[in-house]
Amino acid sequence: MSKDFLLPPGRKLNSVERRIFAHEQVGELAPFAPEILALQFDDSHDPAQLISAIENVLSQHPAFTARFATLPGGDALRHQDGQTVLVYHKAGHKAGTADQALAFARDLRPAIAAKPAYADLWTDGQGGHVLTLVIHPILGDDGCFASVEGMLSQFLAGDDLVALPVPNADDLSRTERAARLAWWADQMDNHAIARLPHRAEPTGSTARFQVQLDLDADLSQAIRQAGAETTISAAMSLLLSRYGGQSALRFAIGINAADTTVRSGNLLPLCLGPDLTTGFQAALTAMRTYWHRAQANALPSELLVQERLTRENADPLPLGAISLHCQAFRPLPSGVTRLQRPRPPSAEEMVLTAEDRGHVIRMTANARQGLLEPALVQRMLTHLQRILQQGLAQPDAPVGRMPLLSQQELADLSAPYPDDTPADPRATHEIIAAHAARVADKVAIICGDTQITHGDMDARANALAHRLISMGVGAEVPVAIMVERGAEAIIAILAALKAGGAYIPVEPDHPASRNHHILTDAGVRVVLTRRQYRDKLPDGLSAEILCLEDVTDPPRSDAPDVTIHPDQLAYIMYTSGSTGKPKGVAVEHGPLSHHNQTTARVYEMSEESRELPFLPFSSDGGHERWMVPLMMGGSVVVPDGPLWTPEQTLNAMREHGCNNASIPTTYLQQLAEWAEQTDSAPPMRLYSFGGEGLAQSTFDLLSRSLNAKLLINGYGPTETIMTPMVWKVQAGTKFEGVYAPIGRAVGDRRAYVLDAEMMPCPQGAVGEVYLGGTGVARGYVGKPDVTADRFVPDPFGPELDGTSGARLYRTGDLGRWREDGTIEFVGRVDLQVKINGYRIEPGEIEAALLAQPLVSEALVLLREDGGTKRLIAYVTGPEADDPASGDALLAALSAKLPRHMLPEAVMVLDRMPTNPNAKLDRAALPLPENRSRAAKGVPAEGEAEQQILAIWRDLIDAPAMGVTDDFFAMGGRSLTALKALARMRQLWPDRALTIADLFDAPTVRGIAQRISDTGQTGRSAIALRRTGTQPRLYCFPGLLVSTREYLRLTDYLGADQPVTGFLCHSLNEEKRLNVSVADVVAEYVDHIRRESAGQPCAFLGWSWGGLLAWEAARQLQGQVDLRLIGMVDVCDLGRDFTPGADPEFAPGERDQLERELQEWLGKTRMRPQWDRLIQAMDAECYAQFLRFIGNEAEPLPFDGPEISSREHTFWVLIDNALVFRRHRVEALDVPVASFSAGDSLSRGLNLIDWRRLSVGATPADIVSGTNHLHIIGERAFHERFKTRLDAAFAGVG
Amino acid sequence: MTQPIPAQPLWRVLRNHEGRYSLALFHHDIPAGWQQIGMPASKTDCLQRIAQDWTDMRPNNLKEIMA
Repeated sequence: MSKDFLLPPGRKLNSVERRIFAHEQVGELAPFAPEILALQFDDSHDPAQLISAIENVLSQHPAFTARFATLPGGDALRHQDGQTVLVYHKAGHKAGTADQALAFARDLRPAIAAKPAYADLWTDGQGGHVLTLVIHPILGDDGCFASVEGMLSQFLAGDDLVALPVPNADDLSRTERAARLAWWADQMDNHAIARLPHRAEPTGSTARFQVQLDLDADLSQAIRQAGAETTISAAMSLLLSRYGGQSALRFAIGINAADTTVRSGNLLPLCLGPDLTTGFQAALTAMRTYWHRAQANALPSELLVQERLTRENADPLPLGAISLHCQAFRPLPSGVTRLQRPRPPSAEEMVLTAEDRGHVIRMTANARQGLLEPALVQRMLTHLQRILQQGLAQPDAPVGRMPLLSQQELADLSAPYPDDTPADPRATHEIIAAHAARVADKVAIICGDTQITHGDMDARANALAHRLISMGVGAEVPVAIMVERGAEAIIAILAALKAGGAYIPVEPDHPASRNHHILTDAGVRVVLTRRQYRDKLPDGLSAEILCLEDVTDPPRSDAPDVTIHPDQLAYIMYTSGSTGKPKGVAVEHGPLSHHNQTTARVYEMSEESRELPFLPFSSDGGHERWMVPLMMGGSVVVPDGPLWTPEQTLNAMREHGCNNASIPTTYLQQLAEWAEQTDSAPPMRLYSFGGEGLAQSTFDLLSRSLNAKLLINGYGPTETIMTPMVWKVQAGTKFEGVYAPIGRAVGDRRAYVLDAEMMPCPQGAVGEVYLGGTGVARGYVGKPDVTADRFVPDPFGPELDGTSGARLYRTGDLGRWREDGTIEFVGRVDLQVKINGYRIEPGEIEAALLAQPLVSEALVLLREDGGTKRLIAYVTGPEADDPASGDALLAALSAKLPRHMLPEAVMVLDRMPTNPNAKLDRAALPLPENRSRAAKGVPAEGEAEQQILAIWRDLIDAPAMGVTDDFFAMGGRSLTALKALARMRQLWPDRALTIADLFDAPTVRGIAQRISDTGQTGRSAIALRRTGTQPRLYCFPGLLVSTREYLRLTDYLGADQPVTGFLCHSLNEEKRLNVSVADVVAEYVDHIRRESAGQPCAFLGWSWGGLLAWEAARQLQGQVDLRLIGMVDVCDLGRDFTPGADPEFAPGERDQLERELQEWLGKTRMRPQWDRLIQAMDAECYAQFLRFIGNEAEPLPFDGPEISSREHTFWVLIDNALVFRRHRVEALDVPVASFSAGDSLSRGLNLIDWRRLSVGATPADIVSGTNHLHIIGERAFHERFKTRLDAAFAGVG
Repeated sequence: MTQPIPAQPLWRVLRNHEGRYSLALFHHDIPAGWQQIGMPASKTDCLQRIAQDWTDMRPNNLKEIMA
């Protein structure tokens, strides 16, 4: 077929254009002449702005973007495709007077074919400019230049976004359409969809809510002056960037060309990269620039959406999850009031309308109820208002530094637990010692068989303290305590403090390299240890070593006379960083004592408190949990070994009458599981825990099984002293989110969530957690630079608390303020990953995996492999050698997480690989290909197996594949299966192998078996799930589908639902031509009758399969109890092949089409198949076939007969058309649940309204964000179909 | 109009009344209680300067008492 013939019509020339065209063709333009517009600009116009305005006009106005093409018959068409050859010289290229410019312009001779338009901007030497525009008369006249002037004026006024009518897709040439689509694809690929923070577990509800905010008259006026659409869009992009932390984002903007008489609304994505370091003015300019480029590439939104939805895992809202619609003010005559005007469709997650009502601009947000928090959306409107206000008032101030939160909001969100009690100025050990005098005989420490009273504890610590002073210990002198957790360690620590020194806890059983570093890093003067640990000390240690066994000094009641300054060091705690050497965090007495005092009050501790502190002494939290009870005159039960079983722990609590316990989060789950299984949890007042993110399922478990009143989730890096943040709740509290909140700050501290510009994040947005106030460490021992980098000047304290010179600690943890003002932990800054512009927190994915049954550990990593970044999840727990369990987990995740957060694979491991330091060895984690490479590789036996294996290995590209490896698990897909089938049939032409065989026996050995067993092959029904208690579901195939497409649905419907799929007629080897639909269905009907006669059952038909299901239902009337037919996107065939529909041809067109057809038949390798098909057509059908190929935009394909080729698909389409053309769908009284893909509606497919055919049919359920091909695998469809199926089967069985 | 974006953002060394050092982006305001030490520079240079100058990390108060 010739190219011209296939060219879309464009627009035929109007009469005057035709006349000018004819003049041009004969070479004489007169009486027409080139049209000239010349404009002079004085020096008040900024050259840059002038050039920008002119370029915008040239790139957008139809007069400069037209192109003409001639048809073979001589007719000409006008295309608007922006590809015109415009000659353009901008300012600087030409200088001269207005007269010179005019003279030059008059000499130009535009030509339709070559150079139809010229534009020159002259510089006149005195700051002014002259613009000359010369166009061919066919492009326009004075009226046309009127609109050019109008457009130019608008752009020069810095005016709002000027929307041109969006072209009809048919008016664009194929290449232009493709070029525009490619431009958008590039934009969308590089700008991630912006979303507002949403609920962790959205409900499926489609209900919506609405909130609104009127901008005051002054602000509205300022916005109007700056151009409402530009200003609000730019502000929106900044807002979304601040909310989502994205630097390249997209949201949709509604475009309504004014003054059209037909519906013209369109939605286009705004793909912007807001630069938060520049001013609002720059954001406006960026917005206008983008807009002009978008206008030049405008396409109907349906086209863009359709293109996106053909991709795997497309976002259901590809243009944007948020849309903005600006409605301009339309004045009315006086005495007339507009009560309502149309609203944009509420399709997106949030639809924001900015309606200019004359005096005020009204912002209305319409949002999805189950997804977004109304309070958050309301605040978002306020934040948008603040950006507009500040941006317009200070257009050059960096937009990233505009506060979104008010001072009051920040004060409330960052506030600590209320505590008005004045701080006791004494140091921690001084407060503890005070009890020795008061309650000397009361038990202070229980450890194993030992019980030590407050009096004894103090006296022994005094004796040791005097000894330490004699060894030179005093202020700022580090004393290492290398003693295992227990009473003696506590006494040794108290002694070091009483001597005025700073203690450093060293765990004797920790790796020697770590301990050696700790003992030498901080200039330790004295090491307090036991004889048994002496050989663990490094050689050449300059410190004095004192073994506890050698201290024989009698206990004494007098404490050394040492004054403790609040700035003096209390301890140095070494952090266990994952990289580099441990850093010593130095903590001073003042903040430590204050922290312990407030913690005691928040935890509601008293003299009665008896705590079991299970946290290790190598973490500062472990020390808090003995200090605080002792400071209150209470007691502690210190475990005498590090490895108590849950049973021992619970027994100890009961035996010693503990009322508090502090447990590491990692141990908590075991403890709670044991308590639940054995119902053995003693009653407790309080459990506190921390150290790691606490998943919701674990929290619920301990909340219900631990028999405690209060639960405290503690959080805090060592640098901010012990547990600076807690979340304190009654047991049984529910929370939303993946991890338990980490709550609020404790004591003289504030907790903030800040963005990269150190600005407070709005509630819900993810940022880095900062902790400030007096409760922070001095810094890292010997590391002033690292200290300065992590402890930053506090910009908020001066305003909020009147402090000065305070510091904030940058935690490196990500968090967000929740709706109730507490903070939720989200992950680590350094583990945060970005894929395709989306910011992803692996912690969120890990938590979702941990919530799955059987999963005990989860890790999500970004792996780079051959340049591509892939998100891979690793879990332990489920059966490691079952590849399906990884897929099942992935399927479970897809129901809980947005698509961009889905890992590419979930790999199930026996255990996480570790390095010699017992840390996770990331490099040793396998990459997913390893799974398919991990074929069992059983070698072939016999010729048949060898031949089949060779074919499969080749097609799947799996050289290691063996005869027992599953075709599909090794990477085989439906189309590969068809290819494999075709090649196997060539080898065994007498065996009627079908796709069903491959599904039923997907291994080389299985197929070889079938080939040797005659009679086993060639069935058209495939049991997708054989058994189940529910009535059977029969799935009817659409065009060219096998049955594998129904597997995901089968999975979703669950183990109780038996499912059978039928093989597509087109894939049947023995197919006959020109059969009726009744014949095609007969085989299916036989099968159903054999299996389900007299029984309840249900049908599902997808695409043309719906027509087959309907026909089967007709034939089976009264023989089965058909409860429901699910109709998925079933289209009417249309009129192309309807008998009696006489096709129309232009004069000579039919002959030309026949010639094209014959020429093509001469080339194609599918000639025999086509001949058979064409011979089966009657004269009318053949004419319809000609018309059909004439209407095809693409040339006829000849890439057959491969099964996946376009030609084969085309052949099947025509073959099916012959089957269906005489088929009439008749009314039938059966219950129908029909579903339509949103994309099919946007394409205007001829979907069947089943209500016309059955009184038992309901209106179609629209599954938006998917298309005809993908709907069958969509979770949203599965959910809705299952609901209908369950209702239909209710009461059965 | 658009400000040129510096290739490497500038930082400044700050010190508070207790003699503790820190640093902050140059385009951020200096919070109350801090004063700038030296000239704005790259982050690396600022950190280097702090490593050189802040040799005794005890707060000023404590230094006086212990002197």
